[in-house]
Amino acid sequence: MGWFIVKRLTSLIPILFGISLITFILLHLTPGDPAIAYLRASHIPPTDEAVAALRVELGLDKPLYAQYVEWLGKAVQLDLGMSYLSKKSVWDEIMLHFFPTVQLTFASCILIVVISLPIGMISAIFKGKLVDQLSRIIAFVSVSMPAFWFGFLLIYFLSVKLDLFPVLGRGTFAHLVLPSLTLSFAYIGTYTRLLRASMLENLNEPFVMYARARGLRGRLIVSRHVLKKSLLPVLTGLGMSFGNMLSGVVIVETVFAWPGMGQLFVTSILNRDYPMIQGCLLFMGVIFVVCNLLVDIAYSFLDPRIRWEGEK
Amino acid sequence: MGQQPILTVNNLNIDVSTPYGVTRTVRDVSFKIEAGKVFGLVGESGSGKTMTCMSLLNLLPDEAKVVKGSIQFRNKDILNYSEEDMRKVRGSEIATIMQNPMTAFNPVRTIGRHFIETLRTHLPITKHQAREMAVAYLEKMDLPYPKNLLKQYPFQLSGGMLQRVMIAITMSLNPSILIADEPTTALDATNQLQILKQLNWLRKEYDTGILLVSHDLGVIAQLADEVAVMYGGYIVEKAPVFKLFNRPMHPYTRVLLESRIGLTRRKTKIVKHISVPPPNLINRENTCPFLERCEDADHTCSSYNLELKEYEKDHLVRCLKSR
Repeated sequence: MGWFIVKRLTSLIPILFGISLITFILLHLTPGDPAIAYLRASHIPPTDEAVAALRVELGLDKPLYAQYVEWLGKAVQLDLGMSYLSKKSVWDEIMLHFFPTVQLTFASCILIVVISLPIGMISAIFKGKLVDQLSRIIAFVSVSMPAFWFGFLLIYFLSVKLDLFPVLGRGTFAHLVLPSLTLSFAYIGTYTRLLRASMLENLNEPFVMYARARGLRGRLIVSRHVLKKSLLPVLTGLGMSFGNMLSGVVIVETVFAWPGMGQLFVTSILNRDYPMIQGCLLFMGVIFVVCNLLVDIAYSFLDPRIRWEGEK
Repeated sequence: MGQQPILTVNNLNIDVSTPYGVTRTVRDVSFKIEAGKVFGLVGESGSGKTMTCMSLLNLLPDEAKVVKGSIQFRNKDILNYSEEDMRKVRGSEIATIMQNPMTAFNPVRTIGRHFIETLRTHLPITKHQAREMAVAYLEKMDLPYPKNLLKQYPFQLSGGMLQRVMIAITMSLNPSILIADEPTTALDATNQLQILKQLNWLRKEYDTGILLVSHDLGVIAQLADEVAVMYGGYIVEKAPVFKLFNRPMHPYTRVLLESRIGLTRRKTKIVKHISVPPPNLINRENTCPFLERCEDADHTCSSYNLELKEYEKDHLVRCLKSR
């Protein structure tokens, strides 16, 4: 087990290096001069002299590889530079916006699990029955309904008409309900169907027949035998979605004015806030990779076959 | 013989609905299983062996249905049992050894969990007691390091070991009937022999009646007391094992035996039999299922209504030409 984790951790090093390289190069390939962007963001007219002076100050006159080495060296120490826009440390800004996103992500994930698992299970057990048909409809609606529209519907009915929840912003627990509901809704359809398919597949496995032939109770077969094995693909997907959500959900955050990573990222792109864009990209990449690592570890707990392959 | 049979199957008929029509996969099957005796069921794939087994546990797939007949277990028809009553019988009274031990266990659960959950389903015991019982029965099956074994996952064990674990689980509940559906098919020869020895041991030790299903005549010859040969859903011949092997009466049984002992001799005959496809059972009339492949068949066969006739004492044959 320990060996498995160590192996996965070592494999992260080249991936993280790759992420940093791509993040850095990508931004330098995009048209536009960071120096000009900086001046614009600071409301200084970008004259030739001003630009030239700033390029020296920001180190943009150095060769690209030197810039990269310098940037990476600082990034490793969590110094991602200073935002052109707010003139604050990029790391501090990210931390400030990351926590709301974490909150939203966790709330949504809990909702996804709590809602998808029972629906998926029930529709697998009652395959073809009315419950299954209903869950199919819910799944279609969930997957095809755009988040911004569903968000507005919730706001209109639950906040404006019924006055149950606050409309916008972040603060109390009640503020969290609508955004996380909106965010999780799109995923619920996917995971319901995924679990259903996975369970149906496992219900036909010989081990289910053997379990029945041993006289085990139906409930025990479903909960201990079928469900555990069926959760594997769901977990993989959920881990990826988790990473996705953590790196910011622009639409939901915009609809509910949620001050998260998505907002920060979009604002920085619109303002060509280069250090912030780089910082966000790198941070999201790392978060995503770490999420996948956690999923792999969780996966190996659920599926002993993976654990033992690692030991061999 | 003369003993009161534990399980009696009478005129069992099973229909399976397929997209192409209804197939009667099991037709008029009758047999008895006595305590401590092994009843062998031989036949090629699709001859209805597995369907017969599944019906004894009341675990037929959704598309299959018993349309006629009865299955008397201790003088009660289990076909009338409620699902909950039947569940209690499965494992504790009528137990099974599955065909492929490698897929019969849940790969994400340890051997111990499989063992303990089975015991605790049928017996009012604690986890600890169940574990101790499991260790004792694994030891009886000559499995090394039983305590360790309980912590292992199915994929860490060989097929032969898993098969022995399955037998251990089965025996721990001391069932009166054991259904062994192709217990050795997925194993290599060494393991096959060991499993057969263990099955033999437990029928002597526990007086368990065994339904041994196989397409391997060697396995049947070694263990069975009485044998039934199935073809196209029918039992075409039923006899004590030595009679069947010494004097096979039905043409199909003869072909079956010849194909085994005489691969070099009479090659042409066997090839002929194989070159004709197996019978299509959909909407088939009550004619001999072996008609198309039979060498002895003539015009009288197609109009003949099939019955199982006693050729000599305990030796039943379902063929017009066998007298």
